[in-house]
Parts: sequence; structure tokens; C-alpha cells
Amino acid sequence: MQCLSETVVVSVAMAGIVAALSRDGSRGLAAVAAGLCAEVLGVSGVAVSVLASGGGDVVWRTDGVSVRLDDLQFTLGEGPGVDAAASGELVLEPDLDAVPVQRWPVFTPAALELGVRAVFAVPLQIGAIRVGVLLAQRDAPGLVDGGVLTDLLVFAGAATDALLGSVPGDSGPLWLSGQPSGYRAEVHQATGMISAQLGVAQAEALIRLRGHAYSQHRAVADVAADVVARRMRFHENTE
Amino acid sequence: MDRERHLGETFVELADTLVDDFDVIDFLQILAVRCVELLEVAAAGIVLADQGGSLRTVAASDERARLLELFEVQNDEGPCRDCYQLGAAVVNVNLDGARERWPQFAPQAIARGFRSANALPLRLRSQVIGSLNLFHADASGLDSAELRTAQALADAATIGILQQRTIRRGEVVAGQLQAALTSRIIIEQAKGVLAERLRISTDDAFEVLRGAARSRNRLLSDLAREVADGSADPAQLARPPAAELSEPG
Repeated sequence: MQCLSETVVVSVAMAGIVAALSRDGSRGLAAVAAGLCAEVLGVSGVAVSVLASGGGDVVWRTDGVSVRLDDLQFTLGEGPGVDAAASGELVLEPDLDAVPVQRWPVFTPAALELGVRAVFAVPLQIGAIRVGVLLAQRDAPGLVDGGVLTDLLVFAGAATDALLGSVPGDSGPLWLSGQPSGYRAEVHQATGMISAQLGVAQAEALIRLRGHAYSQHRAVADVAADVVARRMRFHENTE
Repeated sequence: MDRERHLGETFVELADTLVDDFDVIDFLQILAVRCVELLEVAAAGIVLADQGGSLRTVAASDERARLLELFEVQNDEGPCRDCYQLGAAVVNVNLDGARERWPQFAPQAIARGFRSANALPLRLRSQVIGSLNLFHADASGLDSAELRTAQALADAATIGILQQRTIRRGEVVAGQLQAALTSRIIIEQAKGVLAERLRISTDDAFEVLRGAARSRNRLLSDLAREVADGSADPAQLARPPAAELSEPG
């Protein structure tokens, strides 16, 4: 069997952006300029909105078209970001001209008029925890190929983390993926257990889990293992 | 039943699942169980690479933590990591002789009673998206016929994940992979909720979740999401569905 693997890795530039996000955890997405991010991704603009009841709320974006696209989707209740938020799935349309009219009957012509020719929406989520949507657009049609797609998805992961409020000193997005070989699924199980222990949503449970690990100077995976093994429970006043 | 017939029936069974109401994690878990039956291995597991290149466990023939952990540790070293990076099958590696090759993984696999390991690539043309991991607990290994069957089962896994034979665009692949990885995380979150609410282990929680999905004819991932976001009542799930029918009178 031939060795033909193409293992695509994150670009150096995007790794730098992700590192900046984790270094400056308390600033959230403000630690990175949206314009720089758009440039690294090779897109015309980028925006992150958080999901709040009643619709999205843009918290970080490049100027101009991104703002207009968000207004459009919010007003119309349709569009790639709306779909991504609702379905929890990637929405990647490299050629807006080729999208069937009935998909986004009002959004598509309006976006084309703004000069948008390609849209890429990534839900920002960890399992059932949905925090927002990342929307990128291009003024020319074209696929996001392997390298850019990897960067886009890696950035989405880092943005999800930033929105959940990474704690200072926490190793940013690495808090999950950078754990030494161990049972990462336990972190998600612990999240579920804590949400039931405290009667809160998964998102808050995860924030409490990470906050506790930080305050105890322990790895999140270790605290999670304790929770799953029932060596500890979370109470109202567990910090 | 003889192996050829079992194999044929397995592929019919797998093809039947590739229709409406298809649940990728459930499919992969069934596939892993079939691998054990057809190939006479002790355990099977499927890992997928995420966008960062980390290998994530998505399904195994035995969903208990003790086995799942063994797939998880292969993010750093092991047959799956080698298979993924090389893009080629890793076959019949004797674990006792692999302690230098895999200093962390080999002892852990041996401690769980395994003697040899294999990893087949989940491949889409020139891209490898993950690996099918197979363990033997005895001195046997995969012969050439079994190796071909194993690769066919790995290919079936890839088709199940991607659900199309003629995918050309990388972004479609990415979307399907993200969906599978997200589904698995939701299942883990749901296991936690059930474990806490029903006072059971996370291993048992998986059994409750899967049993409830099957007896209610619901997709595993849909039910898991409802458990995770609080819209399903764990106490109800632990009971057989007949108990939910209204009382007479």
C-alpha cells in the first residue's frame, strides 16, 4: 500500500494568532485583530457572533462588509451564519452565484450586491455547547482548500475557547487538545456531570470546571478525572 | 454461520444504515463490533483526525472507558498514529516487541491483555482521515484474506462517515468529519449527565443511552443532544418505553 497521506497542519501565521489568543486570555477575541486574521485566512472579511436568545450578536469583526452581512442575516433571519448556528454544521459555499435561489432567497442576491462571492460559516461549539458562529467571506469565488480550511477550523476552535472565557495562565486552546495522553473524553463527561450537579447548562459547567482547575493549579483533565471517578462533586460554592 | 455469509450479511446490514435517519456514531460502533466478529480480534476501535491533526476516538467494539482510553493514548504514539502519518496499514505488530517503538502505548495495551495490534487507514483517495485499530489477545494475527476484509471494513467506515463515494470537494469532507467528531463529544456530555442523574458509571450511561435510542427508535445523536441540553428526562430514559404509555382508564 502506498504512503500517500497528506497531513495538513495549521499554518505558522495561524499558530501565531492562536498563541496570541491564549496568551491574553482575559481579552477574549480582542487580543487579535480581525483584519489580520482575515489576511492570514485569505478572506475579505471575518466576524464572530455569539448566540443569544433572539439572534446573534457580533462581538468581533472586520469593518465594512462583515457588518453589513451580519445586519442582513439578522434582519432576514436567513443566511449561512443562521444555518450554521441552527444546525451546528459547517456551511461552506465557495460560489454564491451557484447557490440555488431557494436556499437563501433574499440573502443571496443582497450579499452578491455587496460584492460577496463566497461565504464560509463555522459553528463555534464543543459538542452540545454552542456559543456562536464564525463567518468569513470572499469577494471572489473559490474553495477553501486544505491549508486554509485547517486554519479556519483551528481558529474556530480557538475562538470558541476565547468566547467561553479562557482563564489567564490557562494554556488557551491547548487546555483540551494539549493535555498529555489521557482520556480527554472525561473532560466532556465531567462537563455533563457538573451540569447535572449544579443544574446549569453545559457551557456554564465547562466554565466552572476550568475555573476550578485554574484556581487549584491543576490540569483540567485531572479535575475531570476526579469528577468522573466521583472523588469530587461540584457544589454551588465550588470555586 | 460461515465467515463468507457473515461478511456478506454485514455489508448488507451496513448498506441498510446508509439511508435516511443515519447516525454516524451508531454506525461506526456497530461496524467495530462486526470487525470483532468477522476478524476474530479481541477489540476494534475507530479514530478520526480533527482539524488540528489530533486523533479522536469515535467508536469502539467495547464502549467501556478501559478500552476507549487505549485508543485515546494513541494520539501521541501507537499503531493508529503510525498508520495515520504513514498513510499505510500497520499489521500484526507484536506488542511485547514494540516497547521501544511505542514506550507508552505498548505496556498499556499489554496490560489490557492484548498481544498484537493492527491499524488500517480510513482513506479517501490520497487523504487519510483516521484509522481502524484492531487488537488480538492471542497469538494469531491477520492473514492476507483477513487483511483485505479489514481494509474493506475500514473503507466501509469511511463511506459511512462521508456518505458519498464521489466527494471531490475538501470542504464537504471537513463538514462530515466535524459532524462526526461533534456527535461523539455530545455523546460524552450526555453520558456525564446520565451518570450523575441516574447514579451510574459513565460506561453504564452509554448503555442506557444507546438502549433508550433503540427502544424508542430515535437516533443516538439526537437523543444524546436532548440529554446534554436538558430537554430529555434521564429518569424516563432508564425505563422501557412501554412504561411511558398512558395507564388504562
